[in-house]
Amino acid sequence: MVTNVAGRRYRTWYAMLLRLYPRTFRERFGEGMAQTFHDLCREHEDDRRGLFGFALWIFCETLAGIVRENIMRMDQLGKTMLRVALRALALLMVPLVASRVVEGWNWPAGAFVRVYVLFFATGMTYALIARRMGAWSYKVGVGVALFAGFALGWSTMVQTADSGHPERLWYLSALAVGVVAGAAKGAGVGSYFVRDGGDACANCRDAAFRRSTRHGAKNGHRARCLRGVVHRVRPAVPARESGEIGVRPREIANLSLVAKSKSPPKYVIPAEGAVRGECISTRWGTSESQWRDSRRLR
Amino acid sequence: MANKDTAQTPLTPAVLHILLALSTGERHGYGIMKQVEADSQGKVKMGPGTLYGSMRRMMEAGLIRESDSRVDPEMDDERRIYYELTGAGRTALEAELKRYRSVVAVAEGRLAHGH
Repeated sequence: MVTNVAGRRYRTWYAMLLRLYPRTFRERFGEGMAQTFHDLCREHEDDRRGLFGFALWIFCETLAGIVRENIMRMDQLGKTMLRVALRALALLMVPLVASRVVEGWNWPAGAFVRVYVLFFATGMTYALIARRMGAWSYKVGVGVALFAGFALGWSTMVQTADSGHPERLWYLSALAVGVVAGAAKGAGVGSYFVRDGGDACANCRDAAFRRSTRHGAKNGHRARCLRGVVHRVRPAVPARESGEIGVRPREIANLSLVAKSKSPPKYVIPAEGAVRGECISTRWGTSESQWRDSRRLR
Repeated sequence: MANKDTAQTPLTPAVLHILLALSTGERHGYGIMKQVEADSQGKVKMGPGTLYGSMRRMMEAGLIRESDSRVDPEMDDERRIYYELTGAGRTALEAELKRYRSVVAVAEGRLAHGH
């Protein structure tokens, strides 16, 4: 038993620290870790060595393990949030250091909080949008748009603080309009998704189809998606049901590719009856993000 | 079951030390820690965070497993969880030692040639 008061206190604190581990890890190893710490404390006490330095080292070492385990168990969104939060913190160091060095740069504490929120919100928005995009051109476009939004938000906040006119915050409504429009676009409002009565490919189940105007037995249930690619379709599968993400398209089959490198890809529309049950796919369906991206109609 | 890569890729120092500590028999967490310290002549001091984090990964890789929960007669009356090597763990350790031996052989050959 650890009879020393400090030892008991450290043991209690260590048990509290262990609660920061992910639950599954804690349930499996928590008791063993607490016991090991207890053994180490007792060893130090028996040797009449001080506990403070030892406990500090163990606490730091365990804290590093906690961070490692939690990061390992985070899902992708959590990791993205952590990454953005740390980068925003690094960016915040610039005004923080400048306020110490540059004369006349006297930000109140609230300003740092607002700036950090602005950094984090911009970074998260970019991360969430960009992860759904495959092409760098789109990512750059999003980056430019967000930078413009960030500059607008920043300048509005500075103007408002300097002038003392809170009504100038209305300038931020321009940002709000952009956010609402972006959200509406993301939700598919105003897009070309065919919801009811539309066709979906029987194999790849791509929901991104125009209404097949001439589908029927004679036409072999062919329809062209908005990329201009001909798919074999099955009218019985409503696009609404086939819109789930995660089903990858298959390789192109039974169609002659005219120009593979151009976008949208061009294919020779086969003669009626030439498509024999195979779905055709597109060249962009190579990664999950590109695949998701290809499903959003542009 | 250990994955195929475990036996082929170099092990981290912590994993190697834990495997070495368990190669002579089953031990509990504190016992592993003391054995690692003794094996390395006090040069490697592993805290509980590193030890149990490594052990979690090793258990997932099938290198070690929990063997028993019992009292250590040399310590107190508290029950402790003991860990032991699996067959895959022993194979990984032997593969790692073989790799070390080959590296040492190459290094010694180079040094001898250099002199």
